[in-house]
Amino acid sequence: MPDKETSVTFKVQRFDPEKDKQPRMQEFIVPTRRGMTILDALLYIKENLDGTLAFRTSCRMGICGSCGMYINNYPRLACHTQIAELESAVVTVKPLPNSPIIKDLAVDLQPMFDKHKSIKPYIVQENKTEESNLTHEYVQKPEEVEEYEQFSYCIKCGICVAACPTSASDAKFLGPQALGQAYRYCADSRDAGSAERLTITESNHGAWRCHLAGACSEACPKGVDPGLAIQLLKNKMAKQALAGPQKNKKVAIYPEPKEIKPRVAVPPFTAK
Amino acid sequence: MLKTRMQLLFYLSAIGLAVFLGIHMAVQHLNNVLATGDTAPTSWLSMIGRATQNGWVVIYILMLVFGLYHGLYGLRGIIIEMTKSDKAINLVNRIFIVGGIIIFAWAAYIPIALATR
Amino acid sequence: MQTEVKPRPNQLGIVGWFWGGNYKIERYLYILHRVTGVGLILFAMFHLFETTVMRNQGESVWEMTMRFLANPIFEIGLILVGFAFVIHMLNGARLIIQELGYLLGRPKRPVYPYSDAIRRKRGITMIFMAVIIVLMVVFVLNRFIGGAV
Ligand code: HEM
Ligand code: SF4
Ligand code: FES
Repeated sequence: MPDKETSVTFKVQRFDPEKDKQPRMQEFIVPTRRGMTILDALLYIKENLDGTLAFRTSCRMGICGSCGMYINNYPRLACHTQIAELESAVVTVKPLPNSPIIKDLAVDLQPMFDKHKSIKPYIVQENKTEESNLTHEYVQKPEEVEEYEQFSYCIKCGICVAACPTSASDAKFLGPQALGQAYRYCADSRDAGSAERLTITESNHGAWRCHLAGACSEACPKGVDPGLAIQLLKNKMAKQALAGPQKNKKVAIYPEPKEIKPRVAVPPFTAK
Repeated sequence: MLKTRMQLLFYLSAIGLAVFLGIHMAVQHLNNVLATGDTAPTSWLSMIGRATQNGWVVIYILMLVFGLYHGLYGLRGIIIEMTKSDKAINLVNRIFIVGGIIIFAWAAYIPIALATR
Repeated sequence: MQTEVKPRPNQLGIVGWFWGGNYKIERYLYILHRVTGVGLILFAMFHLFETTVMRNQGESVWEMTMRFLANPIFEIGLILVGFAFVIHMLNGARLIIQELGYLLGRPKRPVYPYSDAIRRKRGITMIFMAVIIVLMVVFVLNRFIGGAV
């Protein structure tokens, strides 16, 4: 996009549950500059054109997962998408599909969070007291970290759920986000919860409702590749179904420190 | 892990189908390309010729088992993806199990009856 | 007074199986697989009727059925079923392999610009697609070399 100021037409979907029966589209002309993101444009609209426009944003740097939207027929993070990269004089912005609309562009991600919680998204320990009260440090080799690292970058933005064809018709489907995270924990060498977790993910609305459409992985703004995670999860499920629960390799535990070195005192001039 | 086992059976039946439907395709639908010598595989003579051989009867019945299980289980999956109610899903499960058994019994009886006629 | 307002459902529904946005080919192979699967089971039911109820009534009824089916509509239908079978079988083979976690590679650190396993292995998908097209051609060829489909 050239440096000089140009303008782009924004078609934004509006819906106020207290007033509207149907969502409607509203047009705004937004002056754009180099490097401007969709989120910048929405902020411009809210500040200068229509203060009633509702959307969710927080970090404006692709970290918090608040600003997922359906932009020019593709789910994206508004803060992570420059207007110029769309190469289009008209930009349509709609709320993410497959999550209920609260108002305008803000969708309710609670159903996704609930599904996320249902798959036990934490390291499950054989020893339950250890789970809440760690007594040791667990060591992982770099290869062991690589098994799950990619999947741990998920910011719970709901974009994969918007892309998934099964989530489109099946509200109860656990969805790429939760299933991807189920694998993230099953693949962690510190975890002992696979046996339990894999029975949750084989429910009627679980991993076998995924048919490798791959749209989740394509759209994920963090490169998490939930589609790959789900297929690897199915591999674990198949192994458990055929050969019983598979244990993760025992992780190394750091030896108890023999002597505790005294803490270096805080220099007096900083502790004021 | 019942549902995973059933899904694996669904895949296994697909592989079975690929093998037997492959044979079926080669003999009955690629007869000219493969020059099997049978120019009219749908004629009564050709058909009855196969129907009275035990090998073919076995293939037909296996094809029936695999096809019914694979097809109905696949359809069940599609229906689950459009249904919220667990009750409705259970009903579909029952209808498919009963329906599948009835269709199997009827359709397995015919080739056996033909072969032994 | 404050009133409780319920969020408005926004699922794409079954329409979302067919179109959900500007995604790449794999998302649309999904619906192709589904449509061919349902088409095949409908055909299988029809075919079972033909080979049980009709066949059981003996030679004259069978030959009559065959004559009834020997018209362009059913012949085109049979070619479509053949296409559906070829597509479903080979794409199904790819799905069995990849859905069980094979031929997809290992996880990779997400370094920008991101890639994903299905797209990195696009070549494998394309090989399956190529075989599908070849088999479709062979299937149609059979019709023209001989006579009967
Ligand atoms: C010839 C070999 C065949 C193979 C290798 C095969 C393979 C597959 C596979 C792997 C799936 C699962 C797709 C997924 O989970 O995404 C599937 C689904 C399905 N198949 Fe087959 N299949 C074959 C033949 C058939 C036949 C003959 C029928 C009809 C009787 C059929 C009907 C279906 C149906 C209804 C589905 C469900 C589609 C869906 O869930 O989207 N298949 N097939
Ligand atoms: S997997 Fe990707 S698209 Fe899905 S919620 Fe996590 S970050 Fe968002
Ligand atoms: S505002 Fe935080 S991800 Fe966009």
